[in-house]
Amino acid sequence: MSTKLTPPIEKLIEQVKQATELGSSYVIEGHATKSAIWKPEKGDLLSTKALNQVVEYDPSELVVTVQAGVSIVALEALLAESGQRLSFEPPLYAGQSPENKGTVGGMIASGLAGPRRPWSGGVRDSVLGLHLISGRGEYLRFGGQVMKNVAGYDVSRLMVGAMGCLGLITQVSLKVQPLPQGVSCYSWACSTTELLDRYAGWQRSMNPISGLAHDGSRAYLRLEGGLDSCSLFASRNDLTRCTGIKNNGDFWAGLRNHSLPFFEGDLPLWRLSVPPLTDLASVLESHSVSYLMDWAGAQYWVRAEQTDFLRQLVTQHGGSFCSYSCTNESDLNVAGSARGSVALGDMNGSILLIHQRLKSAYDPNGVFNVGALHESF
Amino acid sequence: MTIAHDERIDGPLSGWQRHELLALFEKRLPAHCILSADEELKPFECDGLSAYRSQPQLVILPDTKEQLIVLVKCCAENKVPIVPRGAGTGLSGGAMAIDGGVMVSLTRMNQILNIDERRMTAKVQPGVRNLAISEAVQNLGLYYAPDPSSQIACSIGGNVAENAGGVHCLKYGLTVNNVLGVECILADGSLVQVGGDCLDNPGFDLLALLHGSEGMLALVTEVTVKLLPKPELCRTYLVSFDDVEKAGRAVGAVIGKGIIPAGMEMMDKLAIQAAEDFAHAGYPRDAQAVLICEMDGETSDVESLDAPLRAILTEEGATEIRMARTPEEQRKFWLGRKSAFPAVGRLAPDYYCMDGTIPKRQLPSVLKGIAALSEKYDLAVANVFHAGDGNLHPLILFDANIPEQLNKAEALGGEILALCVQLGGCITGEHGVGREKINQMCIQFEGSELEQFLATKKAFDPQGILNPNKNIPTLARCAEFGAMHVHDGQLPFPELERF
Repeated sequence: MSTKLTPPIEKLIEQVKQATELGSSYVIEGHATKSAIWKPEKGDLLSTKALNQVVEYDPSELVVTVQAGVSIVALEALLAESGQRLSFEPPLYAGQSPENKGTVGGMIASGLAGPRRPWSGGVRDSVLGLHLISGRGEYLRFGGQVMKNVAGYDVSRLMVGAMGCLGLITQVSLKVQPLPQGVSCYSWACSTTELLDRYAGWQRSMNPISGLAHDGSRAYLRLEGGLDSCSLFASRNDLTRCTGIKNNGDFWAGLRNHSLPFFEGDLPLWRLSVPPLTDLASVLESHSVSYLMDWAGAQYWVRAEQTDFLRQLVTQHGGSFCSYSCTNESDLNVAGSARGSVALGDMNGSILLIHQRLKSAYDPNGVFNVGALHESF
Repeated sequence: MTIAHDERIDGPLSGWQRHELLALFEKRLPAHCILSADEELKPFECDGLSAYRSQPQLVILPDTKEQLIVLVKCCAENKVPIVPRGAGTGLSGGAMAIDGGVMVSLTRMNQILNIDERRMTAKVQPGVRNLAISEAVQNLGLYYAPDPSSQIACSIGGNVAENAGGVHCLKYGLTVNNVLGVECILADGSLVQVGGDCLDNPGFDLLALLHGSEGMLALVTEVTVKLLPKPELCRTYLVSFDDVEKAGRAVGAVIGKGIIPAGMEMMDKLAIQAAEDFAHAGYPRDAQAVLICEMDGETSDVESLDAPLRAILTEEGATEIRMARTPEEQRKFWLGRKSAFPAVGRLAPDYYCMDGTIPKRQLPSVLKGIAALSEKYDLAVANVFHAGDGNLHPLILFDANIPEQLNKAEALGGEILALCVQLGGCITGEHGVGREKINQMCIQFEGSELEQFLATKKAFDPQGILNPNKNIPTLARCAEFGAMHVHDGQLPFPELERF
């Protein structure tokens, strides 16, 4: 079915077609909050600012449809009015104003999720459908506004984390979830190993855990669920006697938004993605690097000058790592082709070929975010 | 318009003859892996959509992925189309054989390779049955969440290919949300890992793209799935309504108030009566609609939601709310729902199961529309819905022995799907497009979008040998289909607002 296009979208399509004719490229820009961790090659800025409409929101459907330029802060405020939220806790990086902490478009394109990721899924798990402008300047719609949809390939989820390389996302439909009745946070001193071992036991039966982190000296646990299930879990596991249990909600916001002191240091920052319950504490401590474990041991933030041992470590555990301080060109080189959230340096040849072919299929003339994901496209 | 392969609009067939294919594979694969006699091939002539049949020329049943690699490489060299098949329970003709091609059945690759207790994952071969995973980890108090109704028979490889759903997806997600990684063979025969044990991986999310790709992008050889702890408590409610629209509104009301049931199923009067005659589940025969609402989770949470749930349902006009008191009663509540298909099957010699999805608020409109279409075509329709996620399974009753009734059923089904699209929904929620809904794809998508799908396919399979001509119609097919519709005059329900 055809869609009536609004003037801002028609203008964007026109701009894309012009670039195709001129052989020029664009850097798609929302609030530019992720520029520190994400750097396409040079190109003219193409702003999604004009795409600022909430298209549809019906809380009883658990679905919200918004345009790409809507701020994440505004979207979350809208959902909160109806007692709902995004399940994946997208990071809100400091921007030029309190409202400008990232757009929905950037949230989808970067695919970054916060501390709740292991229990409530990532960005891709909440995406139901989206519209995009291809590198040919065609307006395309994939997926929809319904929970179940297997008509055609799942192009909507393909766009999550694609760093805008495959097209300009103009609007997206997201599955949302009700706010929990109860939230409680606990913190206590223990080793990372001890915490992960306790978690291995906890996860084997139903539990309200929605955050499990460790900063090298203290454990942080967040529970979300029914009022009774949170307090029961806490008392059964002797958490009520933990010290410093009050109000470490700030810790979780800081972890989500990278605003904890850990993220402010001068040493290069690395992100390690490894299988859940991976215990890297002793190795990291033996290299005297500071770290922050998140996602119940599936994500580590590490500050380190040298990376050889990090590469070894992630290879050994079947994971990957990338730079989160790529304003520093030398860090980029160390991580191969890493730019921001991904590092494709070690990618299997057949898989890289598919990446290149997909880029050609969606953006044959290289109009969008050239080099944002890989140096070859 | 027929869904059969039409070389004029679907493209030329490969032209391979059976003896030529046999000669190709006999040299490379053990004899016991190759079926070529008519009586051996007969069972493979259709999948769960038995109205459409096409006997394969050759079926290959590899024991190992090494054999599968040999097979794919041979097919790539010789441009032989491959139709992959799991347990054959699919409902959209996705495993329908194509002339000049070879069918590959993955049912012999049925080993559970590893269960990682600490990380709560299982690595399994594609031929492992969905339910077999949960059975294998039952002693650990774990299970695999997606539960398509065919779960006793369907295979996990097929679940990935179709992005299978089930009655519990509203809370626990679809297959794509429960698979961490797959190992697969690409169209050139190379073996690759997509995703893995981590929660994210560098590059494009190819893992998501493979889900629901109907065997057209790669052949899955291993699947790593997430396991979940079993709920502490599970309560099942049978809720009656004297009006089907009230039942539809009640679904939205419960979810809108922040209660997410593990399952929320709806049946209309015809389905209720058929199920009751068949299963004697104790369903209220006089009700116009029932909801089966299941709440699961931690004991205290499930118990504390009992009162608010009852209050919402009562306010929305429920005439009776029955909670199963015993496991036996709970089993009976579900038995009625789960036997709805065979039960409806007793009302008529044949039924045709549809799979549209709509936004929940459109339930009353779609029910009205289906009733009008049922009258127009003079065929009864029983309605069974996964109401919680707006997924409809209208069952069209007909008799294939009466001339033209199958065509009428197909036409009625096509109009129901067109109605779903008009109401902001889609033509398939969980059964897939396969060959069955190939024409309706022309209603759901525009030419440029279909071309983008075809280009996506080409990125994985430049020669087009993996399950060709399924899922995505050619533009030539849509041109003919569209021309036919325009000739008909107008789309169904012109009075409805277009979205």
